[in-house]
Amino acid sequence: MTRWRLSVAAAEGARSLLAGRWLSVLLVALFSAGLAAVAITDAVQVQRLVDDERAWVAAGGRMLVATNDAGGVPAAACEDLRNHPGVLAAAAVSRLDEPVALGIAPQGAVAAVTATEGAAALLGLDGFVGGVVLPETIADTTGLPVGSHLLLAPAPSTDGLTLATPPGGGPATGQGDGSGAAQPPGAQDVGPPALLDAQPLQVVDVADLSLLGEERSSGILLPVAAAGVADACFVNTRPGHVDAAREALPAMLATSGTPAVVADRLVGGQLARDYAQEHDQRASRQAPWALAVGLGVLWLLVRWLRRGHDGLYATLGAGPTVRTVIRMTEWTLLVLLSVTLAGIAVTIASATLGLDAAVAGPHAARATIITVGVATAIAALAAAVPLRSPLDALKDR
Amino acid sequence: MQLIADRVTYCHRGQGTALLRELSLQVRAGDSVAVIGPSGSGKSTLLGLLGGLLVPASGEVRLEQAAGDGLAKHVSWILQTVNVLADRTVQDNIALGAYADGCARTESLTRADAALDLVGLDGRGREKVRTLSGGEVQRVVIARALVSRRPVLLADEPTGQLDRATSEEVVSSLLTAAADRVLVVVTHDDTVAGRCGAVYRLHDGRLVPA
Repeated sequence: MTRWRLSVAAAEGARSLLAGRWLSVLLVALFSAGLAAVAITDAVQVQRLVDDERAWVAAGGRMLVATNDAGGVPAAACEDLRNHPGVLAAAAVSRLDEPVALGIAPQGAVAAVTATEGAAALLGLDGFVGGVVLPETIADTTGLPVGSHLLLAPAPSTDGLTLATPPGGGPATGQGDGSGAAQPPGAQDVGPPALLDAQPLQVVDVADLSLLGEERSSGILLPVAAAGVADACFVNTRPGHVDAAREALPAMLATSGTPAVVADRLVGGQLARDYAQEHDQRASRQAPWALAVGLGVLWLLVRWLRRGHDGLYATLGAGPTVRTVIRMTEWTLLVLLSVTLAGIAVTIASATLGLDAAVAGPHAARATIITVGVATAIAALAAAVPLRSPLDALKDR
Repeated sequence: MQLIADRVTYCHRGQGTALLRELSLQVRAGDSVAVIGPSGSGKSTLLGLLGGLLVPASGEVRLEQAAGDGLAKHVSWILQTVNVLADRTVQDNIALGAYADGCARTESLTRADAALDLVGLDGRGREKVRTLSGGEVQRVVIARALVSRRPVLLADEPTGQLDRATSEEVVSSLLTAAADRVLVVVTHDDTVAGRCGAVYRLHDGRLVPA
């Protein structure tokens, strides 16, 4: 046998890395620092975008509000939108014209808002059929906690209201008065006012109702069955379905042949930030490519400084394949060490900065794969460049 | 076994004038030949041709009765430049010669330990080469050539950076190592050349007896 064993060549590469001592330590430090910096920077930038988008979505960024001046929107059609694959939540909401009085303060009056069952998902509530939801301002004023009961009394001019019961609790239905708009043909009549003070209602939640808009957010939220018409239909769409919903809703929520008017919940919704585009165009997205080229060039410099070693191996019968195995083994170990250290650094930094693992993990992995992949390609190309002459390489040391 | 250069002509790339012109040489196993000549006369180039690292423009270099192809795989080098891995141990550097023969790590280290004694470096296998003197480094290179068991030894100024006494020791080690091999030494040193079996001067691209 007159050829190097590849296992010996691989071991030679490992020993070359170990013998490099300070140079190897410096390279590992630079590689791992670069990898960690790029991964953390990208993860932080993406985390900010995700946080911004989550806040925007929570504020109604993907929410549409349908109204219809021809007499309100049909509550049942609105509630049915929940079954549409592009819809996360939908609820028909009305603000009562007349305020209601609380049993504990009969002389006072507060606004009341009715909503169909879908409001629970819309507002992030566990459910509220059979009870009421207090806005934070009223809860703070009255001191009523979740689980307490209150009695609602109709204000003198309240036309009436029939509360929805929990599932299986009976046939009660009800509706608001459509903000004073005329009811469309076939709409149910408003129920008798006596029900409001007939039973104590449990406070099932205290919530921020600002999603429902300024005029509805300060009222007590009362559940109603999905029948008749409502002031507005709030529709929260899944990502990517806003435009389709905006087009479809006017016809789906038409009343008496008059299409509904659909608007974005947030002012300027269509002009809002495009988070997907910002994600794709973020500056840190390109950083792994630049780092990969930098690390590849650094490795080329090291290889150039050690070109005499290649000449030496060549005079010892190590052909191009053997020399490539030696160099790529050294490179692979260098990269593995660096990736391990960078991974530890990214993990610590993510915990320290409070990054979401589901966000930081994939982006750090992407940055690492691009950097290591491209830099390895450069290293492999460098290893494949033919030696001009072993004698020249040796004399050029 | 015999190393033969048969009417070899060589031109450096981009140069019209031939550095070596129809040069011929025959060296048998057990023989040692010294090549002397002024700087730039083509001594190292001749060695590169004899070792199969350079390709002649015309003529050929061959090793008669050698098994397998590829002249370079039958050659061990002892070069003027310090061609060692300075950050590695003496043992590691010597073992490189055995790797070239396809030996595994364990066998290579065993051969390296045996060669240490032959070149007067017994017990110093664990030392880093960077801690050795110039003469000791050249002995490491000779030991590496010894463990390779290749039939051709080519030495380019093997004592160029050594004092007289050390040079004598290195040449003795080299001649011992080459007892049953083809040895060609390129040197400026007449004393070193004088210890070889034949001496040629490279003049005007050809070899003439000195």
